[in-house]
Amino acid sequence: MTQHLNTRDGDDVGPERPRSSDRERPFSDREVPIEGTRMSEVTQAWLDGDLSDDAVVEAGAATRSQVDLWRRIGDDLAPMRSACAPADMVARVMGAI
Amino acid sequence: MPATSALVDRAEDDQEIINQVLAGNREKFSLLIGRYSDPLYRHALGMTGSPDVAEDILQVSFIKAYQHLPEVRGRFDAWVFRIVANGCKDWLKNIRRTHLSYDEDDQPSSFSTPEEELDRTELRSDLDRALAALAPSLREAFVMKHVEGRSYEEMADLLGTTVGALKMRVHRAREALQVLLEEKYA
Repeated sequence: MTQHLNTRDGDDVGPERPRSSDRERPFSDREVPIEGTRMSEVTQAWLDGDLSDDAVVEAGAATRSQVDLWRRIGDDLAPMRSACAPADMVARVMGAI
Repeated sequence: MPATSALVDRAEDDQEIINQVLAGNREKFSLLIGRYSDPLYRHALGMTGSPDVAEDILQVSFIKAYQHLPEVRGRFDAWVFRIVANGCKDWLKNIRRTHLSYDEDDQPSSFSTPEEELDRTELRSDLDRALAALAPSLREAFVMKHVEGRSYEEMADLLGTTVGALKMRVHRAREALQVLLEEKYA
């Protein structure tokens, strides 16, 4: 139980290396190597909400199609942002303890 | 996000509830469930992509929290968040999915044509797969930022790590998702 009460990944900010068996594993079953792919700080700041869509395009940090892609991703995640736990969650837990 | 003083007030209120539960007033635990179940459910849903799995993780996590309530040190919300977060990461370790079962039929459509709807469904499916391909720590950071809408400072507080480390994880998650999706969609 103890391990469930503590975070375990505070030291993993370095580049993640693909495991040796990744080549044999299907796309959906491996972590994504992103070496050589860098997103500019301007784009990251825009995704943090610190810049407007036009500002990031005008800065040449992202193409209009990339901006559109991220807008669509944002739209796609919207239902999760407003999701609520089942109404009977309290009853289920209280009935189990 | 609640102001700092509100967080302190809530933490003190949580502790008072915990004291009452530990004193034998078991029903008071329902107040803590009601207070935190929605944000915790959103985390589990973002991490697993499955409403059913998210519900199970949430239920098991609250039961564990009740059983270990005397061990709470500091903020209850951060403590129970870590139980849920670790439950999600354990689930991801055990099941590497090829397709997430987030229920598309439950979501209202804002697209006017069948072509737009088809494109929308396809993106959702591809996004689910791309999220599933991320390392759990990167997915966790991305979900906390883009689904839960937390600040980096709040994320660092909950996960017990630094703002810099979390920015790095979010940035890397975005880069990976863009690589996986832009060839088809951008």
